[in-house]
Amino acid sequence: MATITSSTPLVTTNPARHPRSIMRRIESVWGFVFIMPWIIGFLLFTGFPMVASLYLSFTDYKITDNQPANWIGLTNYRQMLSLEFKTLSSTDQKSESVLTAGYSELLRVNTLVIGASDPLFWKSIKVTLLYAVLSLPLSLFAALGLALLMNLKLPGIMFYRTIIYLPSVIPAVASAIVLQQILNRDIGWLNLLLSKFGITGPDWINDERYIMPALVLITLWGVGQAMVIYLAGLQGVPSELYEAAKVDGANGFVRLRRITLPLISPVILYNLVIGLIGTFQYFTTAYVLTQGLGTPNYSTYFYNMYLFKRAFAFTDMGYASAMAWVLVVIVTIITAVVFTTSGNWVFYAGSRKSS
Amino acid sequence: MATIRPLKMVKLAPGMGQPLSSRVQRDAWRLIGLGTALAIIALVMIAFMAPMVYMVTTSFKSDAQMTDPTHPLLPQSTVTFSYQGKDLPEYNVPVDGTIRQLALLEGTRAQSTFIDPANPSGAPLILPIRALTLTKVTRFDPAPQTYQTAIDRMDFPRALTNTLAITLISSIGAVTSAALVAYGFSRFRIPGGNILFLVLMATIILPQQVTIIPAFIIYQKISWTSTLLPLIVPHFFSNAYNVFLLRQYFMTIPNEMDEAAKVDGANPLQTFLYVIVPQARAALVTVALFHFLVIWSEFYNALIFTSGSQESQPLSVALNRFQQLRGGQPNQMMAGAVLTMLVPVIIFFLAQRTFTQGVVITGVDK
Repeated sequence: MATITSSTPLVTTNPARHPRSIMRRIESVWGFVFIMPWIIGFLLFTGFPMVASLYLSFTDYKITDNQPANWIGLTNYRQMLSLEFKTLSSTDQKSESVLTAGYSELLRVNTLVIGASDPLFWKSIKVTLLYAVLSLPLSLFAALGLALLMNLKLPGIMFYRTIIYLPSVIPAVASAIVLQQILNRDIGWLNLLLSKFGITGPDWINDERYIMPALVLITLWGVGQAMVIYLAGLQGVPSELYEAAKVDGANGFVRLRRITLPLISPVILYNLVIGLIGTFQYFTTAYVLTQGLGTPNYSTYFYNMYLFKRAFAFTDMGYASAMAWVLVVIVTIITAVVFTTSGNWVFYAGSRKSS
Repeated sequence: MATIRPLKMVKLAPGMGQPLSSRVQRDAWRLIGLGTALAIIALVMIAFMAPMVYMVTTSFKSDAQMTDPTHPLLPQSTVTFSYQGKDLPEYNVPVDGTIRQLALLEGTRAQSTFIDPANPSGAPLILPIRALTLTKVTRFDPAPQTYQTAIDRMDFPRALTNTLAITLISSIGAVTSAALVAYGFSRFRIPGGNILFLVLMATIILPQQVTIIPAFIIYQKISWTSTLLPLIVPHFFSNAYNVFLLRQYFMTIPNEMDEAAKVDGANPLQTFLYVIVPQARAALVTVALFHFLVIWSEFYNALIFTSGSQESQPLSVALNRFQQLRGGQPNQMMAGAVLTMLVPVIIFFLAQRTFTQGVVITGVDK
């Protein structure tokens, strides 16, 4: 470019037709032409529906009746989030009696009774958070551990990688159905294996205490996806660093802590964020296992399952839209927290921001 | 780090110069480490393969074989021998130190009467054995009719056609649109381009629940809910993941190639088609494959948008419906699961390299 301009000095002396700015404009027009599919798609399939769902969240819209949507202000949000705190005196026999009509008991700590106008909403939050707390750290560690193992130079390593990745290729509905059989109380392979050690396995799917571990096990079966991403990160760590550390006498554990983990920390962040988003949208496995019921005793009533029920089984489109927006707020806050705190532990090669 | 260097660099084998005992010790540790790694891998392999083995072997069992209380791994049937119009079960019978396969004619607590299938006209053998203590003779007997049942009940041909139509058409749309958008973001100075790109990236964390309800209402108003269109059309407008990955890849293609094409008189669209696309073939194929697999297994949108009409349901929804109808028949459900995963698994094995060390994923840590 530079050589062309210098050999044609006439161009720069003509300010009326400034070729730079014309070229810039042409360039930006072409740019817009190329990104047009996304702009149109964003407006049609994201922007407009978002505005519409925000509006719906302030209405009582139901898709079944042909009534127009009535503006009801914050009623949906209030119903969803309202809590009531009452202290139980010794004369009160039933906790229900101390709560205002429309509230049911959510939690009781000694004499304090907490009531909620939509206990299912809080139940679904609790279920989702419990699943997140159990499954996220476990699957992050499992994926990282497997990736470290699969990064060794061992005979047959490509075969092992393939086997671990394979379940990620199986459609979620199919793997839910298969694992449901594996976890069956009477004929499931897991309990048959446990019985070989003299342990009577629980009813994983239908017991309130075991369904969450069962879901985590199913999640762990699909850990290959995250493992492959770690593996790509591990293969990007320059081997000279390990050699140098070996010369300095660092053992395997020190090399893992001081070289591997800092260098793949951006990949850990990526897997954490993707895992978080996936967790808050968790739906398919719980839906298939419980036939959409959230059994036993609402212990698999994930946030997304409740939202789905409200929207498409009870056709409460307004209420479900409000739930969707609360979900947006939750996910945004959590992602923001993760990203702001990530500065403390994520190391970007080339920047000095590591701690 | 390496401020003190030995004056003369002598190439030493690792461990040389150390006392022999420490070398032996270190080799021993290395061996223990290798052994532990292999043991863990063996356990992991069993854990990851077991559900797949269960799925495939169970899918070939007949309803009768499912009730076998001994739970043999492979589909097996007991062998019977037809004798004087009766089907007699065959047993493994120890006779004079060898095991013979004999058909049981009648048995009591104290003794059993056997017929030798090889010599049915011979005299029956009366042995002082209780037949219940013996094992029956079984043979490998897969039951393909389980698949026939699953295919019929799932309405498999129609579901497969739907899934193929959705995945193939949407993959083409997804790759084409993502490539165009990625090229736009990687090569052109667009006013507000950085902000637009940030908005695009932000859609990754946006829960789709916030758009799906109005989308459903609109699709219903324009009568799309009984068609495949809601599951295909949105993919023609690119998504953030694909754009991000392709943009990362396009940025590794030297700008000089674009400039050269420009000098030759190519407009940006021609440059894109004849310079960038051929250069990025591997990345485009990878994105298409990943998209294909994701859409093949997609359930949430399909469940919502096809709930009204069975004709437009893809495999994932058909399998779920089948499971709800036939909840108690593991063999048929496993056959359905195998049918649903067959195409993704075949594609995975054909393009294995792409998945286990894809060009695409290496972009994430940048």
